[in-house]
Amino acid sequence: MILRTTPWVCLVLALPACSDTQLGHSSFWCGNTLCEWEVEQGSIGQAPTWHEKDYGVTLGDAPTVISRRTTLNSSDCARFFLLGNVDAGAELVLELDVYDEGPIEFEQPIPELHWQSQSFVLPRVDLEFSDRWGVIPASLRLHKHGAGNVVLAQLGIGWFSCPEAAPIAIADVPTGQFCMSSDQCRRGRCGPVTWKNAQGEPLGPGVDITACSDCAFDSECGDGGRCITETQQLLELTGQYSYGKCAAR
Amino acid sequence: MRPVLLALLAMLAIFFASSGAAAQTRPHPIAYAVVVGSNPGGAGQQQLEYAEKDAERVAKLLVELGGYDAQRVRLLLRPDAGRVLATLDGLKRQFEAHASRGEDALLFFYYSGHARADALNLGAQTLRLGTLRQRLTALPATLTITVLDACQSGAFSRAKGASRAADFSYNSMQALRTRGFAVMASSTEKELSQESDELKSSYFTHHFLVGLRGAGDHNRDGRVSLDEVYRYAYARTLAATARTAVGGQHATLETELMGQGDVPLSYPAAADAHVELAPDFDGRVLLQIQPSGSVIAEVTKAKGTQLTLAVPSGSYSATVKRGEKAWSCELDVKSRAGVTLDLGRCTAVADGSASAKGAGREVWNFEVGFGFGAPPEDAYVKHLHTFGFSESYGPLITQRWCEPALFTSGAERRLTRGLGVFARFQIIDHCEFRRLDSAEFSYYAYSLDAGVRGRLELLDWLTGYAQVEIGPALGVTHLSAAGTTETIESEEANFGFHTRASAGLMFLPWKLGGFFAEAGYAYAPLIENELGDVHDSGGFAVLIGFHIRNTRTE
Repeated sequence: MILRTTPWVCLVLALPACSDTQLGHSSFWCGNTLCEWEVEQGSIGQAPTWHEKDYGVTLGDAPTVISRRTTLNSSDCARFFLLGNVDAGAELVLELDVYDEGPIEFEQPIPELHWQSQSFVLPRVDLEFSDRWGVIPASLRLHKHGAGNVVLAQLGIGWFSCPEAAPIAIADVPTGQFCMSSDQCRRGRCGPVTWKNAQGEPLGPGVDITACSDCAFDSECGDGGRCITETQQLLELTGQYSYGKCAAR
Repeated sequence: MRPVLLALLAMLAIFFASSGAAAQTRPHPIAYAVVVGSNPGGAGQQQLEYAEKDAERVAKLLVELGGYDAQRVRLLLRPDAGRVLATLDGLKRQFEAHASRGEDALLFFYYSGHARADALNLGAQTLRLGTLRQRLTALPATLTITVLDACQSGAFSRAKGASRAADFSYNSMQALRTRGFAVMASSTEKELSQESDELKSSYFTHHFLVGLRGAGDHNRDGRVSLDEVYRYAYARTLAATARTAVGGQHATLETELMGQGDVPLSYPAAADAHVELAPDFDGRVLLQIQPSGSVIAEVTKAKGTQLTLAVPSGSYSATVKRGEKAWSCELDVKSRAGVTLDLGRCTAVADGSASAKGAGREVWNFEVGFGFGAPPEDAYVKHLHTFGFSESYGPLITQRWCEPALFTSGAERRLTRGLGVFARFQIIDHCEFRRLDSAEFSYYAYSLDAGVRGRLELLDWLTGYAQVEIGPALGVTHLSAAGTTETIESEEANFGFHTRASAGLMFLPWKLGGFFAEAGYAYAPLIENELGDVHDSGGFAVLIGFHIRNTRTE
């Protein structure tokens, strides 16, 4: 994580921007591929920005989609930051895919930019977890639909407290994701999960997180299936948890 | 018989006295001049600067104030020995004609140039003094006046003339002395003769001519005699050269005129125009012809007597120095008129040393300085901020590198008291930026300017100045970006120009120089980015530094 604003500003003003994460600059490129972003569709290339050797990324013919995984929570809003040159005909759209399953929960068209920066606020989610590790995964996508040129010099995301902002309602939590009650789960029930540390050793009491599970471990599932143990890696933490998931026999 | 004899003798005395006086009140009816000037020296002799100019001035003054017919003045510039002798031989027939008619005829021979112990150096050729003597004495002239401004060349001050070991002046006078001869030489056997860059003349010839213009008219009878001009030239040449590194120069005169008595050489009272120095005036005056700046007179006058200088009509500038004070005056001298130098109509100037002969004048000055600049935060810099760069901080917490430390180093050539030209190399801009991903970007901007500087001397030790400069400029940028898999290093050069207008003060308490401080505004569109922004490396700048004077001693 790279802080974008000087520390003393953060201390004195406690600005939300202090937690911005910079996704651009020289870390944009790792050799011939992007370091933090994945190309889901289309093509990309290196392009000069203000300096011929300070490369940004240009998005190829439409459709081109680049994406990056992130997390959301119920108390903070995400601010997406973009610096680049976006033609009016590029039809560039910022998309938010909560749980990274495919459906787009939020869209933000990117306006025409001439080496300007622009930031957009992404909504919070309405799930409130009792534990501070209770975040939900999401995917950010930049989707180019049009023929206009796009050169991106910097992309960033940060969080800030926004308790008054309208949240995205989450009522269909997939199996394996954090939950507060069983009625939030798409299937099964909301129950405690088994925690292990990075070395695979079980963590003791005190870590009280619940996630949607299809079934209890080693129990029978409907349709002749059986409940197996599924392991999920924690986002941004060195740890993992396990939950029950029905699998065909 | 005895009273009759006494009466007859008295009548003869009165006759001769009156006839002699009459002869002295008008120019010579028949006077010839051979005036020779030669700058080139022989082997091992440095070329002179003003010998030929001095000859021209002497020839001109003989016509202007000496009563010489211009047709009878032979000016020989850079001649060979044969031409000098041929000229003298050519005059022989004319002198014989005058003699046959019982007419008195005078010959004035002047030489300015190099010489050795027993010969004049006319470039690569030599003219032996014995030969010259033979030709001069062969002429049936009533009176022959020879003026020699020559001695050994030296390593300093373009000294000219004979070697110290062999006394040119002594030998030449011994060689030429004969009946009806007067020989004036610019120095003794122990000395060198010198030229002055300030006077643009040799010291001796300059004062010889000033004396003939009236400064040497000791008895104020309106004419300057051989004896008077010698005394004047002797004193003034000695006083002027005593301050030089070569040392004092004593003019010499030996005459054997056999009843010729006082010989008038010029008649300043009959001149077309005059510059008067009133009896109560005292000080040193440098009188220069405008606009050429040629020095026509440099005299020092004490209170009590009026001094009249015969000059051609025209425009003159006079610089007057009295103690530590100095004045500058413009004089418009009209034909058949005189102008009195009146300090009340002069402008006080701070630096009198520039006109004081021997005190030296600034020719080259050198400057080195440091300062701070404030280039404008233009679109180029704003875009750097947009792309995540922030200015780095220097050793002082409050000093950003984008408030760059400047450097200047240059030289100035003084053209006149108030005007000079200069050239200087400068570091005009420097800035360092950093980005949070460890990328670093910096630029330097340099210029090589030429400019014009106007000066106003406010006090003896304080001079104000204003200047403009322009020149080519170079901007060098460096980008270092540490990527995940590779480090990008990029250096680019941008070419443009730099121009600045500035004003400042020089604090010059010492002869060697002092300090300067200046402020100005510059424009230097130089460094360009990929977005089409051009950074102006100019802006406000303040410089302080050392000003070193290189003073030339005359």
